Amino acid sequence: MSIQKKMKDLSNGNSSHWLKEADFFIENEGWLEYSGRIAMRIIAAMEEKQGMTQSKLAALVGVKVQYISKVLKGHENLSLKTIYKLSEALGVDLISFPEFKYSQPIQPKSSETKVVHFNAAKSTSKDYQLTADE
Amino acid sequence: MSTDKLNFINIVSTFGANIDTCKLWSVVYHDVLDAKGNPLDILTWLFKQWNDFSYLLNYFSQHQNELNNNFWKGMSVEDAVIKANKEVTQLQAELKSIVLNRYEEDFALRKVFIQLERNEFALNASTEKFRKSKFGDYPPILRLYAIELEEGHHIITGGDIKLTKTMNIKERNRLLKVQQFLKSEGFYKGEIYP
Repeated sequence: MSIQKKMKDLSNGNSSHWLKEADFFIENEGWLEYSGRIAMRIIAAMEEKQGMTQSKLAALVGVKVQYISKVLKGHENLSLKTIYKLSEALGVDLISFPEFKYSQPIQPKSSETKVVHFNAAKSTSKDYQLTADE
Repeated sequence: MSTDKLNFINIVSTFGANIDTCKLWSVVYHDVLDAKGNPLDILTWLFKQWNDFSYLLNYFSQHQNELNNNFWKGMSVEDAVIKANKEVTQLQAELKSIVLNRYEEDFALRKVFIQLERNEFALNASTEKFRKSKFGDYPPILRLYAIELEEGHHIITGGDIKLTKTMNIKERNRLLKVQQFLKSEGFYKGEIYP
């Protein structure tokens, strides 16, 4: 008997289940990494917060404990609302926002700066007094 | 041959409908169970664990000392988790491609896995996706243990997150047990040595 036939007999025709679940992880690899990174931060925050359990966290957020279990596995597509609630319940930031072009403080234009410096240098308390009187 | 003879294990195909051409098999241990208490084959069980960030975080946080050596160069726990998770996704994707493309499995398996030791296999790190990843400078961290039979057939007996050179004792015992069983049934003609 060929080894193929012997192995088939040995397995009784049964198959592994890995492929059924693999699609989800392959197709969603990108956002699942975000979910996993958030999950790690939730777990760390729970470890820091004395007495915090999955049940307590579920009650604070208003979800079922089974949902929290999925969140901690990094398998949930979390809404911003849920991330905010989890963050509030744990007292930690779970996501942060990178700097972008509108994050920078507005710098005075270089020509205006020059004028201010010029005026300041030339001004005296008398000047101000005069200006005020005017 | 009846699987009733196997009072501690069963063997299943890993390729679903392709069972007639399947060459990669997975062991079902009666003490490895899913959340509902049903026996689960070891490949599915390993993938479940390695896809679970809470499991990976717990594992690496308990093995931080082993990350702090010359080999892993003090990789952070977070990076180790992400690396392991990326590897398992790549493993699943490459195994799936074998199923969908109906490759000749023994050839295709050689593309997915690289044999490191007699019974130790890892993701083939020479693939473009692996090399271009953030963790391309590090070797694969996940291991599958398998017994090679005739005609390119392999039976996966277990797996591990490999941070040290030595093989986990539980995995070693599993491998030995399956080898002994296969030998007693006339499937395996090699040495019983992991």
